[in-house]
Amino acid sequence: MTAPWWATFGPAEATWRCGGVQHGLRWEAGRLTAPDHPEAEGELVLGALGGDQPECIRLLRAWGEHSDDLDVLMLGPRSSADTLTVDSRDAEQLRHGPAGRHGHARRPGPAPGGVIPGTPLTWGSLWFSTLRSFAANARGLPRGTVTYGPGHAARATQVARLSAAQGGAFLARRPGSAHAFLPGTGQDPDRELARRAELLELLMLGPAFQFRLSATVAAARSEHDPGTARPALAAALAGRLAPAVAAWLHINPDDVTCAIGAERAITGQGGGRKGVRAAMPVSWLSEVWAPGLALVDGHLVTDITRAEFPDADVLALEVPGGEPAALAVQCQSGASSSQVPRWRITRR
Amino acid sequence: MAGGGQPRAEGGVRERAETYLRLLAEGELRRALGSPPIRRPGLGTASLPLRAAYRVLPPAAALAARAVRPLDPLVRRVLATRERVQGRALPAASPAARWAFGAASGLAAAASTSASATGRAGWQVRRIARSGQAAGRFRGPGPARQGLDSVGRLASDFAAAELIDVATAESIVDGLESALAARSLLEPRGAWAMLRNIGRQRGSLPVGPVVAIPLGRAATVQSEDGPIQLVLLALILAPDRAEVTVAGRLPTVPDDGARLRRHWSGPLRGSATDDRGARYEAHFSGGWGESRIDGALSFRPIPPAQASWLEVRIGETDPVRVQLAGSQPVTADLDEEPADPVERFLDSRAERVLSHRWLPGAGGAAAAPEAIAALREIGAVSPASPALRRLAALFRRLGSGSPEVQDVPWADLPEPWASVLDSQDATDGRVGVSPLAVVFPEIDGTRCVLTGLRSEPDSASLQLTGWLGPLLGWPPFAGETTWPSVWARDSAGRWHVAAQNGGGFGGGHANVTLRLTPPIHPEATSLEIMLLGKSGRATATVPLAWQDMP
Repeated sequence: MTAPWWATFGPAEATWRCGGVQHGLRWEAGRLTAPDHPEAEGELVLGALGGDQPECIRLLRAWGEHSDDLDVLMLGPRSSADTLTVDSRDAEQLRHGPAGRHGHARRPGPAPGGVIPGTPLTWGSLWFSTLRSFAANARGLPRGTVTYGPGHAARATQVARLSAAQGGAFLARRPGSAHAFLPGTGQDPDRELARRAELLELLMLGPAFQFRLSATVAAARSEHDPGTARPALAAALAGRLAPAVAAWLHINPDDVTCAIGAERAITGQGGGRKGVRAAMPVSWLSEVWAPGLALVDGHLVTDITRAEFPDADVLALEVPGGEPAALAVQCQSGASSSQVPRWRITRR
Repeated sequence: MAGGGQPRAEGGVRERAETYLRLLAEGELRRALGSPPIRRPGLGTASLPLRAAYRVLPPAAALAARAVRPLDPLVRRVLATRERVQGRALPAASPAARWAFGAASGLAAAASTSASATGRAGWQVRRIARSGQAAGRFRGPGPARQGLDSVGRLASDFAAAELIDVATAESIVDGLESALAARSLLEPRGAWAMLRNIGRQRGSLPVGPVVAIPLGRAATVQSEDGPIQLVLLALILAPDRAEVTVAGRLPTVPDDGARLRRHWSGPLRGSATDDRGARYEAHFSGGWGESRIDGALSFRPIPPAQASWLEVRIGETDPVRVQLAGSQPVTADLDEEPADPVERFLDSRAERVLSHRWLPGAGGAAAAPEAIAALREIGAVSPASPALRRLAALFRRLGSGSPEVQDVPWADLPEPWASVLDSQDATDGRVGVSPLAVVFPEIDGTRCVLTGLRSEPDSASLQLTGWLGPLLGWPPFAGETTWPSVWARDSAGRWHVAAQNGGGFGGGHANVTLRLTPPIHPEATSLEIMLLGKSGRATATVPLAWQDMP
């Protein structure tokens, strides 16, 4: 696809309680913004310095923290029919930790992600936090927004290099590695609990944000060789592609074998075996599945050739094993609708 | 991986193992969510090309070579294999039984099997209660729990076979559990796996010497139902625990149900003083059945290593003075020849079949057919595997037609296995107790002391006091499969295989009763005991000094 991955997404909005009032959060063009915080960048810096961090700003930071987090794909929705029921009690339960533990409060000082927990604030760690906050996107941003978007994995690579240059003063996730809580490996339990609680809060923003966060992660992961994350990505793809193919062919999802592959092909198993096999790249998740384009009017969409929401040109299969046809499609639901996107073919 | 390092499997197998497990988790999540109803395309609902394509899908020949990555044969068969083997698993144990024994085995799979065993044997198992969160894992019925059990079981087996590291195994199972909880498919709602992970107590091996001194003294403790007759087996003194292990007989109570429900640990209290006048209190933890009771009295505080002697008093019996200085426990010889983890895992499955054969219907599940099928699927084991061939030979001897080994050529049945099978129906064991004090070196990240042998006509049992290392604290994924196998050969040439049959794990400590099958030969005068692990084997020979059973 020549267009960016987010070109098939419309904007999405949600409200979040911040400082005792309801504030808006807006996702558009791959970025999460907090329109009610015109000095969001400054607030983020203040938070990094140990000042109070408004809830909205904390969510923006969390969005960035989880923009390449494989846990998003593990917890997130598999289809539009897959409803998550997380609520604030779940996040609170995690935030307070197990019985007998100290509850996790937002720690004063630098944003913990990427900084060795418990270490005193240094100019290096402050610089690190600031880097993560502002290097999110190379493009110019309108005043009054702090954004997180794709490319987090690449930034992690840069940060890892910086970390090495700083003598290992920073902790950064290895690009391409699966990130999950690793008991007994020295990770900070408080930080891990907070990280998971933040993820639940992001999922609480609703299905529109759940799909967009999933797309963000898939897009970030598809930029690089999967490395040790290949098994997790293969499972994430299978968990979403198999139901789509099954719905397309009216077969059982268990009869669909999925694999990561650049070929974008659906074929028979061969050898008289039951079922089909499907190969798609990880980017199919961000470009096709997440915006609700997997199935359009009985066609399985395999790729996007041009997109500018609500219109897109796609390649789609009418039958397995056939050549994909070029179709023009359009999203029929409203631009800011929280409903499931409904795409229709407008030109064959 | 006893030391918690990277799995030994080569990269391709490791990746296939993790992928297999993650795909299984996806499948179980989908199953729990409930797949949408399958609607075959009707004449009016599907296009003609689609119907035609569905009936005769084109062969993949042209596309397969480039479309399918190396993992494809694996992912193609994951669910089919799961379906094929899942139907033969034992039914899930009751929640109570799982709770009681789950901590002992530390493993969902083992919990299912062993809890059934526990129930059939009529044992009341008392866990070393350290964490109320023990009951939170894999509890309750329902497809979500069953799916979680299935993934947890295979994750345990893969970790035991060192195909994936423990952290990855935990991450996958916790991820599935969190995904299920996020959809309210698990109760209690909000039981986030990570909380338990972090709250989990992790054990550590004793830092410093472990002293074990055989006692062999009778003691009587009064209870409201009559005297409890005990034999004090051995005193164990380590930097983190001080215990006297006991074996005994409960008073006759007309109603067996009442006996099982009664908490016999109440009257079983003790105390000790040392040569410097310090005093220590002891409480009992262990298990009991219809007439027998086994366990240990744990002393607090822990007496210092500098103490010259301890005077132990239990019940109404005269105090027993135990000389600590200059004690010479029997120590086992260690052969540090590491075993291939996958081969050892398969052998441990065979040993479970041998040791669980006394439980009706347990043998098949003990073999973990799902794990064997998965190992073959991911290429971790081939039909040429010596361990798989041994397993095939065992199934052949048992007349079991396990499809997972149908194409595997048989090897010769190892002598110990054949001996166990030859004597499995023996009922010639003498009735008695022999105190032991054998200190074993570290194997697979565990330490243990064997403190007593109880012999009965149809079986025998060993009392084990143990430690689990940092990665294997409660609830370990590797669980039962990580604990070394215990074998014994008596001086009459009869081999015995051990299976856990009571006791519990907690906080990295274990007090376990091991059932030996078959019984000790009546003419045996000594016992050679072997611990077999991935990191090596340890062997010790002890004389048998029989005392009457209380």
